[in-house]
Amino acid sequence: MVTRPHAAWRKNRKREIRRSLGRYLAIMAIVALGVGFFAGLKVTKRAMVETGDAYITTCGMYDERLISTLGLTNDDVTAIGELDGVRAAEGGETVDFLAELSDGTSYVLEAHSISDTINRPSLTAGRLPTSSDECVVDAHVFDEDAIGMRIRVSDENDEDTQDAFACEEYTVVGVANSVCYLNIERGTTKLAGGKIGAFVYLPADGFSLDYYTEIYVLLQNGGEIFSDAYKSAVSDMEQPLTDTLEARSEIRYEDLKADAEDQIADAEETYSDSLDDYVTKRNDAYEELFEARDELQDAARQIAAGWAKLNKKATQLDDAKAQYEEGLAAYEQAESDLQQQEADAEAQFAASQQALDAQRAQLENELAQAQAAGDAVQIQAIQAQLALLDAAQSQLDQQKAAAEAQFAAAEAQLAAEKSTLDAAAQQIEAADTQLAAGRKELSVSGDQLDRRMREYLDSEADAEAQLAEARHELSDAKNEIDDAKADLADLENADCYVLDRTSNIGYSCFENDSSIVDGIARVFPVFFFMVAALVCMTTMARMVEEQRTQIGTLKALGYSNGAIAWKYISYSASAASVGGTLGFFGGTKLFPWVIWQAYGMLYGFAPLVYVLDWKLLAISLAVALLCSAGVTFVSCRTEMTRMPAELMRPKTPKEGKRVLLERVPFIWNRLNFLKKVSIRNVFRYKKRMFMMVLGIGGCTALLLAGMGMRDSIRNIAADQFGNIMKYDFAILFDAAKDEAEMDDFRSETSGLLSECVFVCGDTLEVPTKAGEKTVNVIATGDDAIADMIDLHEDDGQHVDYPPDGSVVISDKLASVAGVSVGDTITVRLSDSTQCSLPVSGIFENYVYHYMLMTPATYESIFGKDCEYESALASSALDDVHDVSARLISDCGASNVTVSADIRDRVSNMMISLDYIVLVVIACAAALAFVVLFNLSNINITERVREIATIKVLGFYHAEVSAYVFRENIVLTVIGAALGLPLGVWLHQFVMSQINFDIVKFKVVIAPASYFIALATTFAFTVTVDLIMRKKLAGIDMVESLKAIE
Amino acid sequence: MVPFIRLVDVTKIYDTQGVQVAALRGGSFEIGRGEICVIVGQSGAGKTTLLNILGGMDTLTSGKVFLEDEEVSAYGRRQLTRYRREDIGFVFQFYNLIPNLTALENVEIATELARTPFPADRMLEDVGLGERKNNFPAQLSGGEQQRVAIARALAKNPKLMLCDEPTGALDYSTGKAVLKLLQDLSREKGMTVVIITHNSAITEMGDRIVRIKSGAISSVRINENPKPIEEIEW
Repeated sequence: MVTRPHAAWRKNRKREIRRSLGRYLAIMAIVALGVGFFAGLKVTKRAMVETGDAYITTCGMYDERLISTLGLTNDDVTAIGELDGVRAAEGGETVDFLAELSDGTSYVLEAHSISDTINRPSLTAGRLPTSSDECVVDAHVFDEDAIGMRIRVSDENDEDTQDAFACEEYTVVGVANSVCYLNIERGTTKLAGGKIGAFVYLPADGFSLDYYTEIYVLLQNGGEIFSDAYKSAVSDMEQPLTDTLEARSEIRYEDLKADAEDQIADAEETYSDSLDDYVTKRNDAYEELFEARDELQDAARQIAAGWAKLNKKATQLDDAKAQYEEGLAAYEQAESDLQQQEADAEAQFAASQQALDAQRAQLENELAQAQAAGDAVQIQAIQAQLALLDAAQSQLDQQKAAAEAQFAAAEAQLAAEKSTLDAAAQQIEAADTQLAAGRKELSVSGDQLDRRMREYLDSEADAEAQLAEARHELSDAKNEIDDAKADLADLENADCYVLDRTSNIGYSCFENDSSIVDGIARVFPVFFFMVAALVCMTTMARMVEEQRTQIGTLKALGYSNGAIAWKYISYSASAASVGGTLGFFGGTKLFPWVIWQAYGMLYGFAPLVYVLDWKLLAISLAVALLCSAGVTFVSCRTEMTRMPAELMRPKTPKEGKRVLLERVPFIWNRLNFLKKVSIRNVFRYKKRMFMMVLGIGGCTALLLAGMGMRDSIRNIAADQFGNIMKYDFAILFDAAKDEAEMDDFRSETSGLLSECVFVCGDTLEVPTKAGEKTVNVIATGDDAIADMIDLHEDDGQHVDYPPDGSVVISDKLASVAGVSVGDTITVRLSDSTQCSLPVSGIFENYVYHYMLMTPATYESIFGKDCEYESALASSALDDVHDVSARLISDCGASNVTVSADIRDRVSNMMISLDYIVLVVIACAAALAFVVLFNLSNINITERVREIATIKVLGFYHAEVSAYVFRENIVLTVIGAALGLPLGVWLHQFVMSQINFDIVKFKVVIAPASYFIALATTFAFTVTVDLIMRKKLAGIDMVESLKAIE
Repeated sequence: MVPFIRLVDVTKIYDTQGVQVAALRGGSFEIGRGEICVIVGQSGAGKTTLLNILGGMDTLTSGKVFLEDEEVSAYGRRQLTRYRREDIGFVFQFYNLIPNLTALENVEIATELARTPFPADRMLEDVGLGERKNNFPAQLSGGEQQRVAIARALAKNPKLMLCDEPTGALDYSTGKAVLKLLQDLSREKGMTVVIITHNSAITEMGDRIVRIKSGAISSVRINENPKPIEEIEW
């Protein structure tokens, strides 16, 4: 019989709520927590998937990507586009290249062509390119400051790559996200270092390829990402696409082959024409040269003859000169002789004259004397002497005259000779000048001849050079043609691939990551709901018990069981509904937001789409109601079946029971009296004890798991870059270095770097159950690698560098590939060949996958020598960025990755995971609080008489508090003790669910975390106790003791 | 002789949500040492209020209460607690034993508090429950529980015993036994006992009978010849 609701009845219900608001709110809170957690976590995957789906659909991500190793043409695109089930097909160009940016850095970039329909970039700043030399760059790597920067296609690229681009430089006009790169992975490449740094989008006319590197396809049928509908739509189209593609590539192969053959034939024709040309030209050239040479030789001969003649003449002249000189000398001699003679003669004559004069004078004197003396004899003698003297004098005069005549004649002769000589001199002079003039002429002619000779030699040399060049070119051309023929012979049919979205790293990682949350969603909510149910049960049971008398009275009045039960059921149901609804809306907003933030570092491509899942709300509320109303119903039932009178009597008090501990008198008798009370009390209320232990234990477990998560996550960067990858820098060079260059580099950087180990880096794929994993390969023969990468197992035991033929791999790779030491691991190279390698060691590693090997191993796998284009280095200097900059600017490094930067980036990634941890801790706190609060409340209200009694007895306030809360403390201790191992298990479970592909988490809990978890739990207990103390103080002894029951 | 207990103009007005209820209206009387004082009145007359004030469990609105020379009504919280701890022994209508403790432990919980307590087991023997020391209250009958309660109150060696309807929950013969116990204790140990009851017949056992009606002391009578309980019938 159901009573019709009327005013008093309804008032009763409403007042009940108001009166016991604490209880009502407790139920609401715990249900809100449980529902919030459950719905929030469950909806997160949905929200992430929908966000991803919206983004992918808006950007038009390809459904299929068709690749052919021979390239694809417009005809191919059309053929694909005409297939049934294909909505759109477009050709795309993708080229990896080395780029130099205008700010001085170098990157390996992957350039894509922009399309309007498929894989549209999603701008975060700037605009799309409008001309062929503009581009848009990767928003994950660059920010809006990059706009205006210029990207140059480096000259280091090989010719094919450089030819693929229409411009040498592109200007950045925008920054965007690309739907083909959902997460931060940018992919691998054959170029230096093996890793792509960022993507860049160019307009189609920014490329100058005459083929497409791939065809992107959008399908008619689709579905939400990751859904089965989508997957089956894609697999339906796989066969038709593959068939078409293969057929088309056959055609392409034939076309290319025919093309090539034509080209080769043309080339051969050209070659033979050129060869003929060459021969003709060569012959002509030689002819001309010979002619010229002959001319020159003639000229030379003439000049030589001229010189000969001239020389003869010169000798003649010399003779004449000599003669003349002789003659002149003779003349002068003769002249001087003559003069001398004349002078002698004159002197002689003068002397004689003098003598004569003297004699005369003497004689005259004597004469005079004689005369004077009149000596006639004497006078005669003297006159005889005088006559002799006169005779002598006339002789002398005659001699003199004769001499003079002689002399005159001689002089005349001499003069005649002189004039002959002068004439001769003149002649000689004239001949001299003539000769000089003749020499000059000849000399000029000689110079001219020399010049012409040189010119001739030059032109001969030129001609030879040109001819040699022409020969060279011809032989090169011949070689090229031969090579081309060989290549053509080698040309194989194309390898075709039809790749769907699962081969896109970002997409498949996103699928994986969005499912992680589901894993967590399985455990936590169960826990919370369990606690919620228990709390409700205890609370409602208590409520029913409290109101026994009232129930009995109502029954006595004639209300039906149903009506009375409904009062309590509606109480808890309304609390649960309100709590559940609040929890639902709060949780479905909070959790996805927190987790999206946490993933922001990896994804963050679009703002989160919040999902309102009405079905989930319904389920959550149903569960919540089950926990609350259902539980209430069960509690009520027992009471309802009793007779009214029984209900109105005071309930038989619960028996006191002996505790197990009492049987140990050793301990028991030593206990303080009041402690005995507490211990007995603890075990008296089993259900409540269980609940408190569960609540506390759960709280401790959650706190520990949360802190453990932080510990596991936090130390990754430090462990990885402090204990394993110990180098400070990873240096990349433009070109591989040989031993000498390595030594040069080392000595050049001896001031900057304390150690430098050259390595050969590459990438390969390892197929595993969980998809293809990209592995970084490091090959080096330098033993110092042990200083750069510390290989050890997770217990610290050292792992040796692998010998030739084996490899050492990182532990996560080993576990994902299901390989242990001694097994072989299968690897796939970028050209799709496979090989197996024995694993000689497995080392602990946290970020990315690595495979280490010796150069010999490398060569046997990759089929080429190790190219040491990279180096791992350490520095003792503090400012690592300065060192890095100087390595690039002064020492020829093209790119330097500073480990400290990566460490920071990884740390930052991990910081965002802290959000999750905070939420967990907050929930743990809330859980503890609600449970403790509720239980303490119940405890107190149930034992209010007892408490009043001891107050009356004269227990001081502190003693009263201790009396009640000692039990709390004991239970907290037990709960915490149980919570710790539970927390450890929970932590391990959560860590196994959070599985980022590129990071391996170390499942570790720091000792401090245990302490903090325990301390916090106790802190909560104490806080609740402090709050409850007030309630204790407020217990009115008088009123409490008056109550009947 | 200085009266042992003195109440002067005791007024207690409850003020709940604007409604004022006067439980006591300026009552005054005295109680001598070693007396059995019976306070009698109808339900809601104010007996319990009076007892609570005497016992330091409630505060006055106005007036004074003296125990020997001490002004109890002026006590602060902590002093009241001490007062209850050391000077008062309380016996309730519904025994209010700690269910989780044995009889002996129930008494011990009080002896641990008092300054000069009597040994717990001796008290139990005194009330005739020496055999039942280790039983829990659930294993004792109503009368036995009340006796334990009396032992508990006495063990503290209080100055004053206050009993609020001690026989209210007991049947006739058990009630009489309990009252006899109280009477004997008072006589033998010289304990001052104040008993609240609505049963007028009991008043004959008291040395002083205080009647309360509607919050006011309607009469205080000295009973020269208190009757032993065995002789009282109701």
